[in-house]
Amino acid sequence: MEVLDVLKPETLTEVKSLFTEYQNCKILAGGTDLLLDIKNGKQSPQYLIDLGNIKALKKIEKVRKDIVIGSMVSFKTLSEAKIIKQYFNSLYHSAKGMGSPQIRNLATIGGNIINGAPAADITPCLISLDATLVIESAEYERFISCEQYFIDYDKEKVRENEVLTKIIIPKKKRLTGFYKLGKRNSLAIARVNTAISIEVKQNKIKRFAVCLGAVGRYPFRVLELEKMVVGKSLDYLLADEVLEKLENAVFASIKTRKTMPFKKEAIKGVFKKALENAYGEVIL
Amino acid sequence: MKTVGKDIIRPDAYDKIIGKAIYPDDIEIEGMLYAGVKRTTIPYGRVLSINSEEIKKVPGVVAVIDYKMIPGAISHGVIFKDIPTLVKDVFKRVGDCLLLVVAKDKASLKIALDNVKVEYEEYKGVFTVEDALKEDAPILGDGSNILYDIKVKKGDIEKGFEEAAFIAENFYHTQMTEHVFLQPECAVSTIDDDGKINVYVATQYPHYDREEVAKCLDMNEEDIRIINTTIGGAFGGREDINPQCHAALATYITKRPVKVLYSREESVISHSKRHPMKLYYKTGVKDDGKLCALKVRIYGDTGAYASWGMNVLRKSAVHATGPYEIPNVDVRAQAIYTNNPYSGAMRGFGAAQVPLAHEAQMDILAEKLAMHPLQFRYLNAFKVGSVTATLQELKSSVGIKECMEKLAQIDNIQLDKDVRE
Amino acid sequence: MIKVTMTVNGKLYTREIPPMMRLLDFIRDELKLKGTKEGCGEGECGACTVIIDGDIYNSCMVLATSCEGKRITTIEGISGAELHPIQEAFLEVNAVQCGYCTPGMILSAKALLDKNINATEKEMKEAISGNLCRCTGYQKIIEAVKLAQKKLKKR
Ligand SMILES: Cc1cc2nc3c(=O)[nH]c(=O)nc-3n(C[C@H](O)[C@H](O)[C@H](O)COP(=O)(O)OP(=O)(O)OC[C@H]3O[C@@H](n4cnc5c(N)ncnc54)[C@H](O)[C@@H]3O)c2cc1C
Ligand code: FES
Ligand code: FES
Repeated sequence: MEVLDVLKPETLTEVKSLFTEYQNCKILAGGTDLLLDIKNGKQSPQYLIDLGNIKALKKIEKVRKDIVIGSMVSFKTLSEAKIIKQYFNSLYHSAKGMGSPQIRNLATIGGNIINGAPAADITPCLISLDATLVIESAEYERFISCEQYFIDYDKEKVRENEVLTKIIIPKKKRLTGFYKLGKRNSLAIARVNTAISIEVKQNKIKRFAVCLGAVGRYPFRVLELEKMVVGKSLDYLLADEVLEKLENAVFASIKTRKTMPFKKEAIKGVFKKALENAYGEVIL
Repeated sequence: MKTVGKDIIRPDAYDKIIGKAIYPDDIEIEGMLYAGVKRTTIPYGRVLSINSEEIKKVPGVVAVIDYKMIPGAISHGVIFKDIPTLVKDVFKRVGDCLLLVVAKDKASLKIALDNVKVEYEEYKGVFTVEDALKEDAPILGDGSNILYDIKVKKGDIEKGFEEAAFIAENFYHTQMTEHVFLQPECAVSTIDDDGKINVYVATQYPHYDREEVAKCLDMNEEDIRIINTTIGGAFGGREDINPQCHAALATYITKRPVKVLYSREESVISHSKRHPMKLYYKTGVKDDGKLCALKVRIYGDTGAYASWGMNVLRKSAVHATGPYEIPNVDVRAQAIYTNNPYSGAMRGFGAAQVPLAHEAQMDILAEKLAMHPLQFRYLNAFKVGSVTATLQELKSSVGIKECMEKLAQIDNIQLDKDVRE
Repeated sequence: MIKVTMTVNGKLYTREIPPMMRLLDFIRDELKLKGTKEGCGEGECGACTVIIDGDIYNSCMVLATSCEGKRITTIEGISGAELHPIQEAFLEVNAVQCGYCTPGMILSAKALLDKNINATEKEMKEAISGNLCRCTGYQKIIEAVKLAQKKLKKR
């Protein structure tokens, strides 16, 4: 089947009405995943809805206690926005290290989430930051945590009449870090990536989140480990039993994969690097 | 001497920086057709049927060409003519060419090629040199899976090892490598009023191409012109025939200008690779740090077709000692057929694989001798007057010791002092 | 077929095109500007790099129709009778071998220096990190960008 038309709405309202007017539509954001999928026959929509002209989706705003990121914000914008760098170190580094300059100019945060690749770079950050996705259709608007979205993927994934509009991240004081292990510096898809977020109170860990990517169908948190470190000092994050938990989590997730022996070893180094990234200093 | 020793600007650079250099895909000709091939998707087998008749009916398709329609030779190759231009029945690798389709535009061509259906009888292939050398391995070459076998011997190897104070004995292997020249293969062919064929292509061997195209079309070489365009990188990967014969054949049959353009994927699937090699090295050194014996066995995976396999493995054998004087040498190198992509020319041409082994051996032996690795190399390095393993006397221009001296200066290493630490 | 209008190298073009035509094909096949190259068609190599409204993009990854009303610069559009200083620099330091990556490299360098004439070597490397060169080893290319920077500063 061939794409018959590329529709270019100017507003979100128009997008929603296009869903009812046209059948077999697909949203086109940056196109860095979708156009290749179409070329390789993995997707065959009849209509593309190009969100490129909708200015409202390209904003990053501070709204009360949250930062709200439009789904059409590009990786370039994300990596250059002061408020991202200020509040979400992990997100900033993840965006900065993604793809190449050309790809970062084009690819969007929304596309990265919705495409749902195991090795997506933004998703682990969002999950570790307790981000919420705002998904809209002509009839309703639903809010779902990014984590839940992937846990319940088959049920929660965006439907044909829905569009992801915003990502909301609570603006809390926390140390956050990201590291991606790729085969080279630029244009590398993650072999393993990890995002962490630490809330500290009186030198003790109050809340900890760690999300691992490229070691399962979707990025996931290691809850057991997160609980284990609460109340401990930061040093404890490098304890053998912590690293062992990570190793076990990777093993359990990809037991039968050929890459398992490598990845369960690599995760420990990647985790340390993510911590370094959060502290802004070398700890190894 | 207008240019030697001077900084000059490449004459071709100007067109390249303004975007006016012409690579084959930049050529457009009124009425030009587009051709492409359906390739095998399994490594070893026989074609039972292809739905050619159906493909002829795809809108926009101008011609569907199989091996029977080739007027001349149905295969090609730089030395042995073993690579099928279009497969007759048996094929030996993923990427062999089955059917040539010509269409009026790129879009119709893509639809047509996507719709080619092939029925295969699949054979059990071999994918490692070990398997290819087994008794019961399928025979891929001319009566044997050994395409080429060369021995280089000098002195008395047994005696050499007897003199050794230390011996290092190890296995090494190198991987298959792809050239990834940045410009994927493309050729445009045209036909003159008098029937002469012109092929515009980025190639390393226009004269070989002319011979191959002439043989394929059963025409005189005088009636074929190969016009080399600007070449978007090659590194050895444009030494074998790729789109040349197909473009010419499509033009010959349709009497129209034809372009054949590969995607990156097709480029990687189709052309030669650097030989993966398995290397056995046993090196002996005397107490005074002088190398005394070297035994080497090299097994090069030459893939499905010969290409330059002989020449590449010969070069590996000749270079097996590295740049060192060794009085007793016993080297044997073989090029072995498998059902992998065929191996051929790539930067270094067999001389790039062996250093992994001979230099690792040098490091290991230097450690055993408790010598600085550079001193150890310096002590054994070729100089004017050295005789190589092939008994060539080096009469001039042997720069390696000088290089080492410069290196030693940088790192403040005394090369000539008593070399033992 | 759908209609699209955009400015390429300062000239306004309107064309009827198939909806899925890539910007790369629009430039090469419709406008016959052959300086923009295709190396992979998948966003990996940067040979197809063009400047759209000041930023670099892989023209193989962008639909032509998404460029409605935009300003595109290709390698043909950066110099007139005289070479652009970046082009001069590529010539002078011999940063060109097979030349297939060169148009994209030059455009990536241009987008950087247009925005930040004081770019550091690190920023230069970052700016061309989406452009593969299989021939040169990048050293000469970085040298050329540095020389271009000097030339541009003098102007
Ligand atoms: C050369 C190259 C390098 C890359 N490097 C990386 C990398 O380092 N890290 C990484 O994570 N990814 C990488 N990617 C993958 C890709 O660029 C990212 O996943 C990117 O974020 C996708 O965003 P997009 O805007 O291009 O999405 P699109 O391709 O436009 O869309 C992707 C999918 O999401 C849907 N979609 C998009 N936006 C919405 C929305 N708002 N609402 C509903 N559905 C939507 C689309 O319909 C489609 O199914 C790379 C890709 C390429 C080609
Ligand atoms: S052709 Fe566009 S990035 Fe390679
Ligand atoms: S000069 Fe050949 S790829 Fe860069």
